[in-house]
Amino acid sequence: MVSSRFGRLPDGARDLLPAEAKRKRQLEQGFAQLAEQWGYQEVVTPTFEYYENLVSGDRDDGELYKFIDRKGHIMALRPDLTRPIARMVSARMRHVPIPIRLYYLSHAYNYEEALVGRQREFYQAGVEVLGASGPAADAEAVAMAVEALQRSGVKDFRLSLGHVGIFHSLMKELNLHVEQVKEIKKALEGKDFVKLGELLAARDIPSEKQQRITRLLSLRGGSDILPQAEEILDSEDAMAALKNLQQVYETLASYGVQQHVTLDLGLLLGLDYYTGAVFEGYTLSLGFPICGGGRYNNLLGHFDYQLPATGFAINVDQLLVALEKQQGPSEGPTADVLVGWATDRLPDAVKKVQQLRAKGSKAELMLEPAEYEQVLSYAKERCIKDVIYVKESGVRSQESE
Amino acid sequence: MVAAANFITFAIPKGTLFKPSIKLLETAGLNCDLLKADSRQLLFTDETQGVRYIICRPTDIPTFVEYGSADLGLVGKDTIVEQQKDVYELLDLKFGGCRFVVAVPERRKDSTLEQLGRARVATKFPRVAEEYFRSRGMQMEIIKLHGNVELAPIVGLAEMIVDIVSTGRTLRENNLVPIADVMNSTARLIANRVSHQYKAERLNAIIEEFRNAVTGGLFDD
Repeated sequence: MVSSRFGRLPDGARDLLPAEAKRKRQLEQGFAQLAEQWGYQEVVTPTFEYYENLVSGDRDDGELYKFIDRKGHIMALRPDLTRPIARMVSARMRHVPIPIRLYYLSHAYNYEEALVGRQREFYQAGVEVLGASGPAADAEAVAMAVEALQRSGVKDFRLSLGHVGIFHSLMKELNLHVEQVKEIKKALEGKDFVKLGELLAARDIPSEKQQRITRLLSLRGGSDILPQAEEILDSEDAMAALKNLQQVYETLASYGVQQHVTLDLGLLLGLDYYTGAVFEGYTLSLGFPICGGGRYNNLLGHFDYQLPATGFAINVDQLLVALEKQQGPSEGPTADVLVGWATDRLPDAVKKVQQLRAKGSKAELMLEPAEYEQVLSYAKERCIKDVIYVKESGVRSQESE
Repeated sequence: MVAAANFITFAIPKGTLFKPSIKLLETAGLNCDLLKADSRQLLFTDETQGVRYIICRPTDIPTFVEYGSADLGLVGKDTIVEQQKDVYELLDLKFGGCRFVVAVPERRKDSTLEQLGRARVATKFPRVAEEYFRSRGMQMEIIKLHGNVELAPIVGLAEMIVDIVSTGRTLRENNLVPIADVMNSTARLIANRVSHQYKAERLNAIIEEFRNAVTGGLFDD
């Protein structure tokens, strides 16, 4: 009996046909070139690892693809590249002078509800800067994300830049219970501002404190919001975080990319994971973020290597969807030239096609002997512009339409 | 795709939430004459105000908003919880109030939840029900139905139900008694993640109008 799954793909997995694969390859090549120009080195980590290396407090265990190997160890498919890279650097790159700049182009896996461009298997292009704690590293990550998006050809993109340290220090300043902070964080991560309002109102938090939290979270815009934030905050920690954000933002002006970036103190990604500046990128062509990143100074400590770090990842699948919406379907790759041959002339045709390839042409060899007219129609069907025909005596070449 | 760049697109629920939604939009200064005309049209464009309206089933609203086909949506908290979509929940609109309860047949009304142990629960809201029982460490067998849940205990399909109550009449008519509150629900304003960033200025102006209307007592009885 044939299974009902036979011949089908599971939810969240997809094939790329030649035209899509070509566009993806161009994005990858563009990203690799950019990363190398910025002094980054490529790394590759395994697709699956011991579960222990991939799980951490902030991640819902249900998002991981898990399985058990024959020894009974729990394995998981990597949900991102940041954790595997943290493990790898801690285990094998301690002798490397810091900062370490790494980039990757890899699949990652997340068992969430499959959506357009948000696949269970998705392709990430990203970087990590390890061992640098200053604002120049954060600004480098943001500026690089901007340049990567620019090079991809995606239009109308924008980044929001926030800082989770500012929020954390306000929580500390207001001296709320651990439980209260936990619930506030949970509401913020669920983007549930109604719940946030209820929590602030119900938990006998003085209205002055409530207002400070809501005002802080609603600050959004250019550098003019920084003095406003300064009025709301007064602890040393908060001022340091604010100063840090300001330095990052100012450095983005030096890079000439500030016009793509909006400051947003309500942008609070992964509050238990990120520790400093965080950012997310959007384009109007897609209802989901296309890239995200930020500073995570505590992750490598889990692997017993205290190293501050920052980075970002672009979701290449999302980017492909956005590009297809903006530019239409991409054209499939075609050869530059087709070599056809008459009966018994295969050896000469092979020589001819090798010469063409050696000169850098994309040359396709026909696999059966054919009449000249057949060769022309074959080329026309495949949109191959040039045709070379190896006939009984001598070579005939002609351009088809 | 985020709805047309220079427009704000609203997803408006059909059914009982429709009228109060229109009332809110009008109070916020949006012209809803097009929507009030009794037609079967599902999409309205108001060029002068730069607003579009999608009229759809309440259960589909989080989906339209999550994908960005609508920037904003008006929808019940019950639907948001059940669908668990990735959207911003911005305002409690204070209308469309109802509560989720656990109800049992009259003859069992003296039992507590804990006594009912491993029971079968019929509901239209399996996620809400499962979350509720799981948070109490109870393992129930959740049976998903698409309507007329009150029938299930009568014919022995389930021992209890989790359902929405507004007046309580349906329960009474079927000899069911609420024994526990699961949650309260009202209509909420939700927003797409990207629109919330990209169209922040216009969105914030609308959110402010809505907030003023609601805190001004538009839906107070």
